[in-house]
Amino acid sequence: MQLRFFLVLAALGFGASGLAQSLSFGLYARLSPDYLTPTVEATLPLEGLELNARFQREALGVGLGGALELGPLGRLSYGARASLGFAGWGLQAAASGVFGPVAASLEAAYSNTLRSSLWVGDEAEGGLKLGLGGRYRLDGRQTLGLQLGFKNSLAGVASGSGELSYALRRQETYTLGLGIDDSRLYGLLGWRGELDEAGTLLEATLRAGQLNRLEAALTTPLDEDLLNYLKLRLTVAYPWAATLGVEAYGFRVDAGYDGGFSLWLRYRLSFGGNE
Amino acid sequence: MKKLLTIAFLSLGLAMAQNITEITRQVQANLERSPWEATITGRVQLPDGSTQEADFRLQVIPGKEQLARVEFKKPAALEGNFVVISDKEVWNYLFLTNQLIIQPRAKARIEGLGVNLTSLGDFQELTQQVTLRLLGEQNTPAGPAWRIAGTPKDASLGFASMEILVLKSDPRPLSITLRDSSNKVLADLNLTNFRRANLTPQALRKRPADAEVLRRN
Repeated sequence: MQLRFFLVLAALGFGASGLAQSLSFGLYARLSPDYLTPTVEATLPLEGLELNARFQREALGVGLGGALELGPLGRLSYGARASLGFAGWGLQAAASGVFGPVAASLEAAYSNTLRSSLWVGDEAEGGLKLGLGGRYRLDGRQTLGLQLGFKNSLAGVASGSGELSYALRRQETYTLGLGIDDSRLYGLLGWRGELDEAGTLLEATLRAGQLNRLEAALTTPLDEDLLNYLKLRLTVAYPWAATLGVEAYGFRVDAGYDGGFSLWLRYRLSFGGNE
Repeated sequence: MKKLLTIAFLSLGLAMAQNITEITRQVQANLERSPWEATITGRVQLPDGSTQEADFRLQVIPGKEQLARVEFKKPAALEGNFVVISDKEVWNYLFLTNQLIIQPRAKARIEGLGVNLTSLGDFQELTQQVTLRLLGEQNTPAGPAWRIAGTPKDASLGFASMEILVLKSDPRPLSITLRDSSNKVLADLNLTNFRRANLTPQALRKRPADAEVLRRN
């Protein structure tokens, strides 16, 4: 019955969709192994869909995506990308949707080389990767989350992961969860809330146990019109790895360490397109 | 005698027509006087006969750069979602995915629950879409009210008839009822907790700072 209600709303709230464009220029540098490359990301509208392309030294990727907007009820988005480089090739596809109390996402990727060789922003893993995520609102305050993953590396080693979480929203949102990642068990604690009246927002998630990772993101408005924001992102993991990201006024800097240091500077020009 | 009755009837009809024009003018002037907010509660009936409870908060800044915000409280699955409507854009915020979708007003359809909620805050727009006529008066807990009936000028609005109660002492809508062609109630919504408020565009545009912003042209 509830679903019927949302279908009726969807029909009423159905919105036409179109797409727009943006262009990002960047420079990526990494030590051990040393690597330096310019990066370019572009999005263009194409017959109601969005064509996106990204280039770096010795590799390029082309993708196509689209979305169906359902007003306040939700949306459905989908996309696929093919990448080709001197090191090899890769394919990726993803779809995600939210409709009333349910959100789901599906992702699949395969590459015959490390995905970071095809795009510096991707992980240093190759082979098959599958991901399934879902969120369900029990009521206005409580949300259940589930993430499932499967990987089969280039060496033929298979691994799986799963994470179950429960989020309770009051003024702030508290999250509890349990997960397993390649036979490593961990617990999850999360907090998200506003720190002041201006709307500065902090989200922190700690995974601890046989896998240890802290993720924190701080976002604060830079003007009264709420047009520009300063975004800070920090991830620290043990065994030691860390990333730090800063973003404002179209500029973005990401520094990372995962056995070797990396730095990525980017500037994004938006022509009224997807931000 | 028959002629006299006809003249009297026509005169009465003309007076009623003048009245409805005057009432809508008064409502529009009253709602445009200063920013205001109200709660919209009620029930919506689905084609299968079942009903769904609805509870929204409506905030309106009238004027040249009119801005309206609708926050969803019920149904619970939509709690935390909100819509912001300006002359140029419609913002849809989805709580579950923390996404803000921005679309041009001309392309975005903003109806929800079978009724464009902002028409309760913009009588001018309502009169452009619906032919209104005065049915009479009725006593309500808030005071005497005008009963106004409406029929859509465009069948695509999704209802066959409308009835609105407008408070006489402070001309503003108290309730709205939509019916289909077989007179079945599609929506029955009450506008309560109406109050003048010191609303700012910044307050109405407020969104979680970390929301993913998606602009769709």
